[in-house]
Amino acid sequence: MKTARLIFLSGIAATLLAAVGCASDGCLNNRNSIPLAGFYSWQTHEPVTVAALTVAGDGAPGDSMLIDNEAASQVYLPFRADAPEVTFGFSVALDGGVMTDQLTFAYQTTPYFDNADCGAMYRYRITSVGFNGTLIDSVGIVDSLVTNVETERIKIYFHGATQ
Amino acid sequence: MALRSKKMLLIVLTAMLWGGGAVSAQRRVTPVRPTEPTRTQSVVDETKRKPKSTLPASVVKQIDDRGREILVDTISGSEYVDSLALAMPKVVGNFYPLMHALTIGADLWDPLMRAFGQDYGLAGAWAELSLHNRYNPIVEFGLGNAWSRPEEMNYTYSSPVAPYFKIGCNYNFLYNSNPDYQVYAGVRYGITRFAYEVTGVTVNNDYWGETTSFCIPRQHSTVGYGEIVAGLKVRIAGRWSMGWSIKYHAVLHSTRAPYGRPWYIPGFGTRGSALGMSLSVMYTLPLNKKSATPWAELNDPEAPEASVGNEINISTATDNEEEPNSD
Repeated sequence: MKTARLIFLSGIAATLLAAVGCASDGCLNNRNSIPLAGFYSWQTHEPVTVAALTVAGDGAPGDSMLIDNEAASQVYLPFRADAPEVTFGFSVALDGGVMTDQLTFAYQTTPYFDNADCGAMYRYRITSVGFNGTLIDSVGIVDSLVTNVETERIKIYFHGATQ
Repeated sequence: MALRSKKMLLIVLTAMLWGGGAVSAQRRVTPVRPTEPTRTQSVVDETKRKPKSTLPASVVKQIDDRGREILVDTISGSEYVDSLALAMPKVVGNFYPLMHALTIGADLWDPLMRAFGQDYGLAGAWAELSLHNRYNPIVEFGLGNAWSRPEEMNYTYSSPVAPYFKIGCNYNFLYNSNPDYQVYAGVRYGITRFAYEVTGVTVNNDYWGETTSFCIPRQHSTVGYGEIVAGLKVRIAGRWSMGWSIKYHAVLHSTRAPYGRPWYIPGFGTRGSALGMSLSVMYTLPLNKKSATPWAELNDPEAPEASVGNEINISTATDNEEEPNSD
């Protein structure tokens, strides 16, 4: 019986040490809800890389850009929590000049507590999408609820995209 | 002359022998028909017979001054110890009575972990009824709360004190052994209604250069969850015992939460882990005089010294009663 008690007390000690030393798993997703958009060919519907692309938010401070004249196949499009919609400009440098399209998202904002590790953030529900110009053929919404889970929720189909 | 006589004698003997054989060959054999039906006799498989008592002929049973049956060797005059029966005999069925004991316990895990910096949990108590020292239905009641503002995070989570209830059952694998020591597994269903809120949230949007703040006002939630438990119980002193257990738990149903699911659930713990721990101190009340077991007598320092022979006789007497007379 002394052996049983010894085993019992050892179990308690080991368990307490394990519990006290157990660290958090951390946040496995993002700590913000930022939609990820992928680029596709309007003809083949296959992923493409758009060369010499510039993406910037309309009214961003200091005219900061999300992509600055680079080849890209995806882009994060951060929404504004205190505005009902946001507009991004997509520009491609061509031999004859620069072509620019405007892409506008309207959405609803909801505060959301994800978990202890990822914290609290906003979630967005996309209600409508508008665009103009000649670069973008169409826009597809895979999931209108934008959360902190890392996944591509927007598909942008380009005219004459390279590769 | 003598030779002639011998020849005659030989001829006569040969003729007698041949003649006798011929007579025998001419005998009629009359078949005998049984007048009674054939009797069958069962064959006893000696290998299946229970062995006879291994006690020497000089050993007799006597009753000691405490009314217990003991074995005494009539040659030496001393008590006989059956070494074959020293090992605890296998008892078929339940050794302990139906209403065996009532155990009341208190949870030590959450208070201990809070002392180590845990942000949730408060207190819990439970009562367990021991049926045959085997099936132990259990009810649990407790209170839980949470308050957390993690470093480098953007929120304060709080959940005021709320009750929880659990109901379930344990199965003691050592049910025919010493009840002071238990190895068990069980299931629980828990339910709780509580509130929670998230305040002081600050969200920075680096690209747009904006900082916004919000709070999620108090949300009410009802959550039901299930647990699978495995644990140990060990008597520490007198009727006091301690036990620890590990549990796998999962939320079975919960109120819809449009602003995010609760992080802490009273009685369940946090949603982040499927495993939980419990550490309890408990007090056991025997419900039946039959609960006094051979182990209890052996462990009772005030009782007269119990002989090993008495312990054996409790079971061997039962075995002997069931044993048919092999004669």
